[in-house]
Amino acid sequence: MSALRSLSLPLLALALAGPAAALTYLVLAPGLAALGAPAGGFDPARMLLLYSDLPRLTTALVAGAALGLSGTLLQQVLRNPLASPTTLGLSAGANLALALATLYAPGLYMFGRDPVALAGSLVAGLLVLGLSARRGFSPITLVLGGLVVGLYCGALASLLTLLNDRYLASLFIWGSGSLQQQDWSVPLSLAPRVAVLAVIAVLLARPLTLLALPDENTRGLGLNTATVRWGGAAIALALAAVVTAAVGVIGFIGLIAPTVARIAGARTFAARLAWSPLIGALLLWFTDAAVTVLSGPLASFVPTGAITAVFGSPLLFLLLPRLRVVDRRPPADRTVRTVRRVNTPLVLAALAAGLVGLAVAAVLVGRATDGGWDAVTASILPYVLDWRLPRVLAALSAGAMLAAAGVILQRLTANDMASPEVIGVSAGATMGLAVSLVLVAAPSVAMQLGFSFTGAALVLALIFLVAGRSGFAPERIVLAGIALNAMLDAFVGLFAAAGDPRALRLLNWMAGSTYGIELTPALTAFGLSVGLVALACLTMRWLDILPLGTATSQSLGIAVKRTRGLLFTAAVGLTAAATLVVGPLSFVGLMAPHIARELGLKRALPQLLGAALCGAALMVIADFIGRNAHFPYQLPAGLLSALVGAPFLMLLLLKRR
Amino acid sequence: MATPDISAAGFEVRGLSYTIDGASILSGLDLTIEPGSVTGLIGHNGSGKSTLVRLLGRQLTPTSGSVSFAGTEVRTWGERAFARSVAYLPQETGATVGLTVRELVGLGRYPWHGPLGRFGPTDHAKVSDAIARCGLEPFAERIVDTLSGGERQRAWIAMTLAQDTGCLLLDEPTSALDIAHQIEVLGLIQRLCREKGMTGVVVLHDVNMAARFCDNIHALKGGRLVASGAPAAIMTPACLAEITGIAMQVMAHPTLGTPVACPG
Amino acid sequence: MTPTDLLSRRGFLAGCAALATAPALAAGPGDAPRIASLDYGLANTAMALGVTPVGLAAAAHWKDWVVEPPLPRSVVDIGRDREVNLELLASLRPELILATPYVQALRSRLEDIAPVLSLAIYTPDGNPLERSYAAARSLGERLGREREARQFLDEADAFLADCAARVARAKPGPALLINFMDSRHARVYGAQGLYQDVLDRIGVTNAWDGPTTYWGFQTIGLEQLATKAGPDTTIIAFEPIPGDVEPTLAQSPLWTQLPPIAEGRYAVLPSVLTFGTVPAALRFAQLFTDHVDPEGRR
Repeated sequence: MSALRSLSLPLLALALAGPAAALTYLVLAPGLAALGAPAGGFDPARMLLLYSDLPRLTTALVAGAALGLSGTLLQQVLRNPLASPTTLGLSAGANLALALATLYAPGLYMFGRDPVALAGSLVAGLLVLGLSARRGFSPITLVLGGLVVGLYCGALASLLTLLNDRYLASLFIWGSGSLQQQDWSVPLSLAPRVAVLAVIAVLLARPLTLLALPDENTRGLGLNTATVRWGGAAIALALAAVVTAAVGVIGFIGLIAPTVARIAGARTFAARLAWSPLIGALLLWFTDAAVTVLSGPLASFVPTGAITAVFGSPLLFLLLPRLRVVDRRPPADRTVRTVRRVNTPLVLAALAAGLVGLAVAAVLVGRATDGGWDAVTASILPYVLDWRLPRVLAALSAGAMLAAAGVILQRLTANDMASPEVIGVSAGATMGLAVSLVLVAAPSVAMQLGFSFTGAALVLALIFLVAGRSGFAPERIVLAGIALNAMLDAFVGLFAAAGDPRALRLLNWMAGSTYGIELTPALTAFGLSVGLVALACLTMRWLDILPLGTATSQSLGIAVKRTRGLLFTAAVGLTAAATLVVGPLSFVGLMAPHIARELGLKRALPQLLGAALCGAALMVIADFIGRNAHFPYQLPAGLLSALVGAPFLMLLLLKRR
Repeated sequence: MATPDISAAGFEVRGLSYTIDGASILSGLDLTIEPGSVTGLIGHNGSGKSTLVRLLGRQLTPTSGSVSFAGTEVRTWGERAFARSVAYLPQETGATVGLTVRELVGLGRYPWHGPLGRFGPTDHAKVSDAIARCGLEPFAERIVDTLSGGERQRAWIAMTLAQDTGCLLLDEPTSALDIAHQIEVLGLIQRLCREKGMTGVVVLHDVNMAARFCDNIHALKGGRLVASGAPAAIMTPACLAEITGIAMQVMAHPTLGTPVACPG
Repeated sequence: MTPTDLLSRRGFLAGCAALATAPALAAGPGDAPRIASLDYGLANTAMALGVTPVGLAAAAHWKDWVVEPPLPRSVVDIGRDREVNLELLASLRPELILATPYVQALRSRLEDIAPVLSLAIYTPDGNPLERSYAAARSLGERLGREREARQFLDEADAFLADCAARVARAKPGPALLINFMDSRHARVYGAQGLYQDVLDRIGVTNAWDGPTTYWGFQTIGLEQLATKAGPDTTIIAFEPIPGDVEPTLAQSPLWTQLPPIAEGRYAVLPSVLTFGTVPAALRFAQLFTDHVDPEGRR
């Protein structure tokens, strides 16, 4: 990246355009030759040049420019170097809308895909902007809102896809952004829309420039900040939506282009307004030309959008340190003057009793074969124990482990938004599983555990590197999680769009189904959870002190680095084991610690135990619903709990500050 | 674990230098912190006073030179042994989400009971004593977050007191407080050190506060020691001009008699 | 014309099914083994041999993907194939469970309920039609329906030979077989697929000679058809077709000027179970042959 700094912007543009043109020539050469010869009848080379290659090239340029412009506008109006159509969940929203329409209202497509996709991105965009407007578009709230909305849409879309796996490929093609064209309709409808929006953006350039100043100053200069902000955001949203509707989700171009422009020296907003679209256009052109040339020999279907996402998502990590994070003290909760006295042992005993009751009920009560409800009779008890007990045990253990990991991470980073799912440790574990699937045809359970542990540990090491320097600023850690989740999505998208059968297995893993678990592994998981949670309890004193800060912890005689390392390792172990069972999306690690605290369990030990019990109960409930709600079909417990967990995270976001 | 005699131990600083990213923060510092006294560290922003107290408290590792406490170099002390001897209160304290005053103060007992030891009767007694000494009894069961700034700072000081050390290091303990609370907190520190015969080191912004509450003052400027001595020795127009870089006048406090400086 | 019309009016399959069910009924209801199937294709074959499964994975969607023969209402839906409802399956007390290596992970649990017959049709080694024949024989053996299996496969051979003869008269050009994914993408069927094997048997050239996965298809952009669609190529698309595909394509010169489209050698045929077995092969053969030789329908 620093090498870019020495390049002037025109040189950079040239450096992108050169190889792109060379690659494009490779693609176009046969068609150009055919163009010279007089046409007689249907000449495939000529037709492909005129109605496929050229429209595709035009689409890449227009879409890239539009995304670059959209990103620039969003970054300006939101004063946030991480804002982009991808990071704000706009694409995920559109994707979900299309999945819904494909499955439940295919009639809507009579008017084309555009209105459906547009509606989806608009709803997602307004939701994210609405969430952050309450906080004056605070950079962090905004990107977090984007993350949450994106995850929620993603979870819902996965659930739909899993239940309708025969539509898998067509849903994923769109989600992975293919630029293939068979006529000029896409570029011809896209170009004028983008042009009109670009003209409006240019007309708004001056007031938009002023938005970089603090609101007090801009108001002092006689500018209605809110109007300009919403105006700019609306243009950016429309740009992203028309592109998404036209060609699908093209990840990260809207983030990369403005960033590269800025690093290469586009200092003023006017300069970025001019250069970002150009760089975006060139980037997408280059990527698409490379994909076209390479996909021939690879003999498989490679959507361009999945490639931009695979290469673009790591960029988020590089950008994290550039995000200005104001060090705020945690909010002083002055409403509570005295502590609510809770009888801690009583609360814990009640929780434990509740959990046991729930687990027993989950095993004994279920749907009868005729679909009605039924309690198990003694005669079929052995069978039912064989099938239901492992699932209940596994769900319970995974929930407890995730909750314990959540408590540890929240206390370790002094960040109540942290959890294995949010900061990407779970995504890392899943990525490890994905790698095992690529390397080994049928990985054993031990191998899966090894890979998922390695993945989770690598992620945590990365977070240490990126966020550790800033003293684990809560927001940075959470943002690092977005990058990882995005990368994971990109990989799965790539698999799935190509129709690779492994995609379904990966998707099954991500959905977090307890279906395949047998009694022995379930008992192992249970033993592991009891053991690991008990071990975690031994760290209670550290967990009490560490939130007080590094300096205080050190002055109280804690070897902070070593202790943190130990605790992080514990969190990784808990997460890796749990992710194998319920996937990366459950959000139990986020919810359970909060529920425990709301119950009045505030010290480390009671919170840890309480959270583990609550987490176990949540997963048992999710698994019960999953087994019975859509009888005889099974819904994955991990996704079901994510459907509750994501809105929970959103609520938390709204309550903060 | 051999615990050296810490009753009224002090610090010896020899040839202490600290650089960060090539920039020198402290260079070749020599000074002595007298046992059983309250020492003030004063100076400009960036003079190195906070760095010095963090080096004393082992929060940082010196680039060169040495810091000794009770005759032993601080880096050779064990983690918890050092924490039983020296308590350090940082300028920025972390989150106390949901903790009551008594619970926060109780955390100060960690160096004594460790990660797995029992929180015994001695621990309870020390906590109650610290709370009493800081006048926090009415607030003992209150959530720390709900206290006023001065009360909260007292709670933190009570936590360091529960650590039961012979030495107390405080980095700008009054920076976030209004004037009334500054007097309250500094008075408390002075009184505690006298009552328990502790060594106190306080980083302060305000020369007059240092003169009023400290037995000794070390003045830093650009990472070097420019003046050391009792308040009376420091509070002279010549000395203050050297420390602050502007002309200062000194007069006696009308009621207390301590020296007071003002620009002019 | 709905698929049901097409096949109920005439059709080999209906007759064949009637033929096959007759002896089972004659032998009394107690004689039919209780089977459950996790795979449409194997269930389809079993039904052709006169054994209707008591339970079938994703039975609710049979009418969309397999279409013919219609599934009796008595067949219980036991859930998604990769996660069948074990309790429900066990309650059906099957004597045999049909599965494929695709659901290998479930095997040990299925074996707790009943013996499992796992038959591989789609493998990296190809030849799905041959494997489907073998599967029908194995099934016949296992279900005590060897005679019916032999008869069914003989009928199938005869039917395919008949189709081949009709095709030889009609002399259609090479065929491109596709399923639309959306208005810009399709799956094209080629080497290693069931359709390929059927085309080989009835003497039709597949115009798609590009690479395919071992399931016998490849995801492509529609423009990739341009180089494969020669002057005498026929394009066959199978239902379902997403709603926006045909209006969008009508405006694409690349599509409308594609020789098969411009010259009317394009047809949309009812859904066929893409990853099916012998009955699916016969259904495809019939639909295809009836399309190229409409007069020859009996």
